[in-house]
Amino acid sequence: MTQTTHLEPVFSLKNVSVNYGFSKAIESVSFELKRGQALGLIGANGAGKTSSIRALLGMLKIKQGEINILGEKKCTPDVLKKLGFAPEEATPPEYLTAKEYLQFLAKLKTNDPIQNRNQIEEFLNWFELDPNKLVRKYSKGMKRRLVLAQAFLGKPELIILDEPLNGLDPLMIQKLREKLKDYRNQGTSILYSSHILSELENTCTDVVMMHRGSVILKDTVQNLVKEYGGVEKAFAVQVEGK
Amino acid sequence: MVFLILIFSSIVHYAGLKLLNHLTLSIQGVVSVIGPKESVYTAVFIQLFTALSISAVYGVWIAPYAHRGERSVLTHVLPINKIKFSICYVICCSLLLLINALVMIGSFAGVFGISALEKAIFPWGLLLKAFAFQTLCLDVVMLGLALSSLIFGQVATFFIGGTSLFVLQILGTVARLFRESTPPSLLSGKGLLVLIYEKLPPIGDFIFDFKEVMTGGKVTLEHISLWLVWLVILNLLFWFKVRYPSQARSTEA
Repeated sequence: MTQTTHLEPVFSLKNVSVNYGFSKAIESVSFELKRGQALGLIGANGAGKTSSIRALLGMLKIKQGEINILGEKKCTPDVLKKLGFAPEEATPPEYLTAKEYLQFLAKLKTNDPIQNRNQIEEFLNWFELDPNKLVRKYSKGMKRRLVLAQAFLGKPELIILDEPLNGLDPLMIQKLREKLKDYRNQGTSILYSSHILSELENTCTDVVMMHRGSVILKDTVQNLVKEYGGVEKAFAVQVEGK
Repeated sequence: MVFLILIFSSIVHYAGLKLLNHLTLSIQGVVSVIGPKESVYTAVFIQLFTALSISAVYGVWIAPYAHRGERSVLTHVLPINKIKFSICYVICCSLLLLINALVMIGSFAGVFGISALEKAIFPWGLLLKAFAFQTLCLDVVMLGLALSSLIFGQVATFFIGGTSLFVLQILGTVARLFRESTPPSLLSGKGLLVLIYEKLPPIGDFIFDFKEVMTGGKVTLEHISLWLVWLVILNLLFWFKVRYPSQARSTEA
């Protein structure tokens, strides 16, 4: 398996199209994420953000196009070991405790039991998770935090977050922002899909804007702030023409 | 799951065998009790019922659990080769069926005494063959139900599964009648039905084949091959289904 160098993108989608039955989900979508970059994926409901992420992760059969993720053409188990993903809607197995679930995942991702143990203890404290409570007794917010915690396990080269702020309180949002900054400083690349455009401005370096299954804008956050006055205003102009 | 199976299986086997042990037969004034030697086959068929229940529950609810609804996404991104899921479920189901069989043997010994397990009374060789054959068949049933559960949902599968087993049993009997009378003609509707049935897992012949094994006979190579082929096919179909869990836009709860 090839290692991605600092010059190669961490992932790339080239002219990727996906259908749900006979209806188009995304069409000729192309974008990439470079190493160390934090890419914001924005768009209205049904724009194709989640479909793009799922196509990238191999959860959808692509109709056409090419995908490259961490040097491979598809998401193999080796790729998944180096990747962290927090989906928008997800429920961890309900008959495990948070600790058991994280331990199970950590064993799959790395062979270092000491690192795993330390990291799990750190995450349980940091994400404020009760280690001995069954997941089915968790509140919605706690389940969300557990889903986020598992995305950071191991030493991921790429973290993909789909609407990570859903169900989080402002304090946890702040903590998540700091966590993402830490990981970026260590070389992890981030793909961040969210409706909360102001948060993307704080977290991301680049933005890809989608509308009705296609990419309509790709630019840096800096340029969007300079040209439009912010990501939110850029979105309004591009999508609604205001 | 193991704990529940132990309880369920123990109750059914022990109660069934205990009841059998208390029965007496009166034929033309001669009264006799049903002893351990006569009870073995009843015990095995009670075990068959519990084994079918276990594989049905496993197939409809347990195997698809991690691959349904909001759990499917997190399961998909586990760094595990997807084909290992179905293989793992087959192995786990087989182990549960083994536990069930051991419970049957334990219940038998509990009702009739340890001496009832001696070779003269308890047909160990035949039972081992029967369990092996049963495990193969019930693993296929389990995978079929699991696949149906992922595609159609659990409630629909409960009805589809029950109906399919019933229909296949009828077809199995019809096929046997046809095979014994005249060779089926391709132009005949019933003959075509039999031809189709002969390519499906021979569920309708299962009871006949199982009885054959228990009485020292052999299952035809054709039937064993069909079960093995369908085990492979259903493994691959299950792998394909979990490989692409998101082909529908919305996910179930």
